[in-house]
Amino acid sequence: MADDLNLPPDRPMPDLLKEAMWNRLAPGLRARRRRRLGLPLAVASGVGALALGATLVFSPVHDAGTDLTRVPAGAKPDAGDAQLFKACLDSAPDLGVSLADPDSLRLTLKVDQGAERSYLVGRNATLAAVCVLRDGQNAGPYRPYSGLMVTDDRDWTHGREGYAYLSATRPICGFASATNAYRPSVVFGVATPDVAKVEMYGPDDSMTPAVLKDGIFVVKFVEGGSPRDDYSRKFRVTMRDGSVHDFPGR
Amino acid sequence: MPAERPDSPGGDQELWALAAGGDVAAFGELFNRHVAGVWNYAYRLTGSWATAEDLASLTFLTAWRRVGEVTLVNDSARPWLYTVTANLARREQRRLGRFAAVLTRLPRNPVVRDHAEDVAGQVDADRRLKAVLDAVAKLPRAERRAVELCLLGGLSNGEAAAVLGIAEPSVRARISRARTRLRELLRDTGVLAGGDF
Repeated sequence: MADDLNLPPDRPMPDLLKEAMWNRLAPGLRARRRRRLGLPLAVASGVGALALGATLVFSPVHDAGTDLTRVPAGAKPDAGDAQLFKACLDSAPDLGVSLADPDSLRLTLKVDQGAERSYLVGRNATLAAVCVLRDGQNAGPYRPYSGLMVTDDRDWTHGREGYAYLSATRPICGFASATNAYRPSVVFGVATPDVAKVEMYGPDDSMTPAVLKDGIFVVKFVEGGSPRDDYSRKFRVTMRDGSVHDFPGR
Repeated sequence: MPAERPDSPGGDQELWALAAGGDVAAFGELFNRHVAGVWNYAYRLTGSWATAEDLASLTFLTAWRRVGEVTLVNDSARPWLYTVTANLARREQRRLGRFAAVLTRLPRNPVVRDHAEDVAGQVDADRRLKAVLDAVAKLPRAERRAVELCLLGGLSNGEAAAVLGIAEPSVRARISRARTRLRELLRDTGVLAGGDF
């Protein structure tokens, strides 16, 4: 039947790739606590639970047991970063992003994700933007591993993530992320001025604090860093009036 | 790569049971048997080999974590693995939106290069696949899931019925309706083989 669709044929998987994939998996397998054989669930139920993983019920909170989930997220950008940020914004048309007033964007945070990739995050009154750097450089539109993501851009996000869409009942919104299994991953979001603290919780109730500055929050964590990680996430927001609200991660 | 088990049991269900007891070698055998299929399936769901690599890894990580909770209803683990892959792909698409297009250009693995993406003919194959994926995304949810498993994943109607928890004739009906819709959606794209879809 699939032939009707003229789909590309299956490829033989390169042994090197297979081996690398297994080598990344294997340490996590050996570290896993052995489970007792529990109540068998129907396959459909198990898969359904996975699909609904974003809906969590919180038990008493504890910090993550591994340092991997507590990686510092943000740093103060310097003058060189500001130049890179401006160059990135100037190249927005070449990157396929429409920016109405790029000069109004102010650089707020710098985030490193591993040795090669980093991000410069800024905002103006209406939108937030993330510049992707490769080896600390704005690689430009004609080299790989560069990019620019902004809120409210239907080509890159969902088109309703900017500050205008935040409200008392929706004080934060994640708008972009870069995730890698077992390695540092980053979620970027915007927040109203009423937000005092943002924390991200994993399915094992492990907590990773977000860096919150100038209406932008960034969480850096490791997907798959916990034995109970089913890749669902939830944000807990503490408002300046002390009230606490939970929001599902996207 | 996991070493092949000299006394490897014949069926996935037996390996699955051993893995549920913490037998890494048994799980490695399941990995050996199915990783290439999951990797290709993930590509067909996403149109990106880089994303497919991540989804394949996540699929097997999820399998290891759930192997003690899930009982296979098929002789093969592949239908269950495909369902997990599809769920993970949907989660990624929901979360990342078009941002995923940027991520696919970011380096994922410093060890392994995606050799196949250098093949010249791949551009056209990717274009065709993306057209199909765009059309599949417009299908009603129930039909989309059947299409993902049967047309994109190559599972039989029976295998899909088992993991979807519905009767096999229902899968056939969904596929039939989906084919009609896809024919319409893909009419002018040049994707359909010989126009006989």
